[in-house]
Amino acid sequence: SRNVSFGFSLSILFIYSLKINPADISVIVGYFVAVIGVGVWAMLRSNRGTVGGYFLAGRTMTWWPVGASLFASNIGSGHFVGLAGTGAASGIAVGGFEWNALFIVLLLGWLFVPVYLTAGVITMPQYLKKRFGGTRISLYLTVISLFLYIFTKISVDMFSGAVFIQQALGWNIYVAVITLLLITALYTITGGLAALMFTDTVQTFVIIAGAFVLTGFSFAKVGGYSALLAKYSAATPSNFSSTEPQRYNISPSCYTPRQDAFNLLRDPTTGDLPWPGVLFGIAIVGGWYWCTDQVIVQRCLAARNLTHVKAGCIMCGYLKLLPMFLMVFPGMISRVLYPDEVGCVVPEVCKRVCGTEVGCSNIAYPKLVVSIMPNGLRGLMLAVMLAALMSSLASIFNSSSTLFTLDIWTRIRPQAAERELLIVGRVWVLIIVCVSICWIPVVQAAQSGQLFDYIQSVSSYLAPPIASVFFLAVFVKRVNEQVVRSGDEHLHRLVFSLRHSKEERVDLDWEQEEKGRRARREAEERRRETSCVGRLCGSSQAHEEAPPPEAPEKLPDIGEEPAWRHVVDANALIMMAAAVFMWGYYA
Amino acid sequence: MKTTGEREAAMGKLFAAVSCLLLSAAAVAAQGELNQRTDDGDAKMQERALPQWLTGIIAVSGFLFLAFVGFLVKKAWCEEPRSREVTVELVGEDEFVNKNIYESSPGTVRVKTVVGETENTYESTLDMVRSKDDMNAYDNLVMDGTEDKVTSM
Repeated sequence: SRNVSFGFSLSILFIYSLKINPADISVIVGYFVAVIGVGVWAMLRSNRGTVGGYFLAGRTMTWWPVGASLFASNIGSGHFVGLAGTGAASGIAVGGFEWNALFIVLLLGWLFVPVYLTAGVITMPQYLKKRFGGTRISLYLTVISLFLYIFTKISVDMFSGAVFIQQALGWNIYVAVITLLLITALYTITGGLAALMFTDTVQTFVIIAGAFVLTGFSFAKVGGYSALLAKYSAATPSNFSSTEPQRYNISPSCYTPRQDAFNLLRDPTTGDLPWPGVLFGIAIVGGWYWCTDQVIVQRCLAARNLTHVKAGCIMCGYLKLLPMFLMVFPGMISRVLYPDEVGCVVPEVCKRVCGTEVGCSNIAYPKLVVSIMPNGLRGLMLAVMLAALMSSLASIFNSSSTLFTLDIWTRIRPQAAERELLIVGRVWVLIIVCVSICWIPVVQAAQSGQLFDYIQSVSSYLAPPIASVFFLAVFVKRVNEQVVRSGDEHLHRLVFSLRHSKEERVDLDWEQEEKGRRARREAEERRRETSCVGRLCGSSQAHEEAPPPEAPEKLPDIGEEPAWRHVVDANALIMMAAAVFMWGYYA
Repeated sequence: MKTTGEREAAMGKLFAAVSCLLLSAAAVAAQGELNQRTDDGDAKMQERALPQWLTGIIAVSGFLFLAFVGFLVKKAWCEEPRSREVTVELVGEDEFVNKNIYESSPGTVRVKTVVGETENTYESTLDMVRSKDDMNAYDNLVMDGTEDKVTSM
């Protein structure tokens, strides 16, 4: 279509305007062709005319797009920059964030998604509304989620993308980011979730292939895994004395690599990432991210049945084993190979190297890309970063659009018909793209090192309450918003213990739903009356006095074939065993 | 049958996840002492009592053992309600029909919540008396020490 070719030629133009060699360009072009091609194909084969088709891909996805999309939506450019940087600075414990998710994603597939599926909801605030009744809780969750998306998820990816672009490529940040966002918005707006999930499969492949290549080169350069183990503790910078001894001096602990750098589980009192926090604290934040957040859960809800959900979760779990080896270890290798840049400690030196005085560990990954990748493969690494950035941003755009459309817009205009909702959903993506672009000046102004910490603090502050509300909602029947309304008749298919119940549910949000339905009916009738064609069609419409009643809601089926259920259960056990082995090996 | 199996699997996941967290904590305790013994001046990798792959293998075996124990415990726990005092009318293998019986009988919410447990009773009881010749037939069986009335089909 015209939009696609316009966006395409724009990106080609600006790539040619800068001096990159042809090998890199061809790789990047090939990457964009693949992504846009898959996006268009997915767009054409899916029905995007309904709310279910646009926001939930018609609930037809198989396990491999689900698994790949879970992984790609999660892995963003923030992972490349943040994991590698923190790995360089303090060792492998940061990989605990990733390996914790191995178990949490299984909780998602086995405990939470069955309840969400059988409740028949599209968004998480809808689930809370059905479970607790009332409108306050769902409104709070919608607003908090949108706030978190804008201030934590989008910002992290924008920062990291900017770091990479500035360090590894030296491009004009505004042009680069705006082009990227426009391309992302393009296939998000037109294709909906189906296009996103299929392009995420391509992005996953690109991310893993490219990162593997870089990891291979890095290990070759440093001399192998055992060489890394030996050399890391000696990776101190040559400049470590203060330039102004009266003002400050630099103690050895600032620039010496940690003794426990190769331990996942560190001392609870003296460690930087104490093991109770790594095991339990990250699990709680992980519970919020994987089990209750719209971005991740929406991908599971798009699957065609529960077995595919579980298989997708297992696939995502296996893929989550990789970031430790693909990002953390290369970050540590970067410090070994370039201790004076990545491991710089004197503020003036750091300012010269990377523009901030706090430290330059964030440039660990871009530095590798620039220094050890040959021509052509640098383009591949750019494609990897773009893949990570675009997949995460596209998922956030789509999910925030889902939240806004189905939870806020339907509250403002309950009479909105499906067509209007789909238009609103698309317009919201454009709005949020503009919001994302507004983050760029903030990136320029702020010192990125501190901001990562603030972002982590904000999300760690807001995540546990949300996670606990959902945990209680799903598992504890007695918890209600109002004490008066208790009893099983409100909870069929909304809690884990009643997920197979086939009985009539007395909806707590029945009045609201009824008001919405009535408003939509009245709006539909008014439309018919006012159109002049209605006169001509009057005869044919005469015998349907009321618009056709809304199709009776089919209870979503969370049954599984016993054979496949055993297969996925066995696979989950195997995956957990692999995860436990890795934890034990690196503990 | 489906419900019990699903519940088993789900409880198994939860149990297994918790057990691996506990296992990792145990692994840390083993390594923790070693970490503390190293002093700051020592630039070499600290000595490990066990090679890394062995720690991994031990962790996996511990995890599988705990998962197995959890599986056995759940099996034992799910069998237990069989001996509970419940009067029953077996109308068929359709569990939903059983539920409806309870719905129509004058009962309180308390009765309904008992249905969850008695489902298991039915499922395990039904399975035990299921005849080998015919799927829909059930053997006549006298249960010692229970007050279930198992009627022959």
